[in-house]
Amino acid sequence: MAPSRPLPQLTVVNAPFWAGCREHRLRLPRCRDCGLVWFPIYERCTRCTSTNLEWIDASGRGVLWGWIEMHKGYIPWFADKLPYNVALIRLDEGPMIYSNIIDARFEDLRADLPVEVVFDDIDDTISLPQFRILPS
Amino acid sequence: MAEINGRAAVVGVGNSDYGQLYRSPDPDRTAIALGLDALKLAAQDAGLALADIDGLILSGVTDTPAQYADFAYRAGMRTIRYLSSNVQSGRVAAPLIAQAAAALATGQANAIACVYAATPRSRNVKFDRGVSELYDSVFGLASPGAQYAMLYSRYLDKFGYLGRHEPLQAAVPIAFRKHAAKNPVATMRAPMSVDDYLAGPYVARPLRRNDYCLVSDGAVCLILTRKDRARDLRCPPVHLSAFANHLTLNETYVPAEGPGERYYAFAQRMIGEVKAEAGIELADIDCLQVYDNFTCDVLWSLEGAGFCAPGEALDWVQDGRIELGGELPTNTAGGMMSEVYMMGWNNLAEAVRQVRGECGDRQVADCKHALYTCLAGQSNMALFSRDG
Ligand SMILES: [Zn+2]
Repeated sequence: MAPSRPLPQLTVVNAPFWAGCREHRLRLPRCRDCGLVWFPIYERCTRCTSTNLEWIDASGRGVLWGWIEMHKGYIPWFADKLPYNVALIRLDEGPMIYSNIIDARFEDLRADLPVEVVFDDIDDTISLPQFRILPS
Repeated sequence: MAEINGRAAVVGVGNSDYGQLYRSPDPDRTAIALGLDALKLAAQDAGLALADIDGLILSGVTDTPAQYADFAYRAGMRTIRYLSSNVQSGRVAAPLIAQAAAALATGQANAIACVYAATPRSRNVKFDRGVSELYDSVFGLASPGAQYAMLYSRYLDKFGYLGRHEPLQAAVPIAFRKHAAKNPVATMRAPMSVDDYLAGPYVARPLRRNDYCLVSDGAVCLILTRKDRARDLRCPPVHLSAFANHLTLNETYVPAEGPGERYYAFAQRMIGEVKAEAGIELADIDCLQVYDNFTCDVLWSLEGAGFCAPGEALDWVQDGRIELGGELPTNTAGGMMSEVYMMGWNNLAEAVRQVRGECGDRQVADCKHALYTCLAGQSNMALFSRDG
């Protein structure tokens, strides 16, 4: 049996994020009291603990913070897709998010390259936020 | 700055024969049994009876920290004054030694045995988890090494090493392998050349397999007493002369301690505290025992402690500088890459033995001060020093 693709675990708390992805919008929680935008998703502001939050449409832009080329198939579904990249993106709004850079070789990846979100509709409900390098 | 200098000393060290365990994995092997063996060796080393030990600090050892009694009872302990049972995690190794010193200093026990034991190799544990199961595996992120490698790629690029780093990077695991050859209980003792290093596959590029620590079964026990009691015991006491700890939580969920660009400031703060507390300069440090989970952390530790400037470590480690006989002998027993992966406890044990002067072929001449550093999910430094 082919290994199943790892899918995000949806929770009441993070559902708005994944619903946004489905509409190809990168939505993040912002604190109405102190203004912090945070990721990963928690139900409270991670700076002031306020539960008074709103969901904003993030710009979808950021910079490439770190990256790897994965050569070991720890996760069975990825084992026949080696090597592949995983990247850490610093979003313009501040938070960092792990993702992939599409259409890029390891040699193309450099610190602080500007990137932009793209969405991959992987099944009927989930769209994954991935990133592409913006032309300079 | 902590006020730990002069409070307590390590008086007993015991550990498994790591190489022998590695060559004979056994699913029935228990961490408790390995821990008991190490405790017994450490007590003999100290010249203490098990009955003299009235404090116990565990990391790992039992399946959950709540099961400490299973170990203590089998160790013959019936009354325990000080007890602390903790997760199996490298970041807590030195903090638990400091915890023992604090407990001894405040009269909560007379002799405390700190025991680490684990059997991930025999149980085939994969260090394959992402940071957050809610998000990361979706993108193929798995293993702690991948998280560090992610920051290492940035470091290499920022400091102009990307693309020419590999032969330079090889110097770190090669040095530790040379040291392991002089350690009879080390796991990996065959010499490693640059070609051998490069023949190891990438795991999370820019890290290769040879940039990773081992996965090991084994146990380490360090016994501490108050400084005034230590002088009467069998071995020369080795004092915990400084300790500093740091945890930065960022706006992100990347390794919270974020090496990369963030490690430097807090490592500098920690080494400043160590120097002030022990009254030493960097030049007084005779050897370094560094938490070598991955090659990049060794480089960041060297820079963070100030042995070289930020971005210089890949050049600085060349030409034998971190080897025995070099300017800063580092991981003189082979470290977690070649001796054994005891989550920092083997590095701590080697620091103590170097200060005692009992390391034979791998002894650093006239070693008065051995520094332990760990830059990880929680970072810390501990200095071990000889009397006087
Ligand atoms: Zn807030």
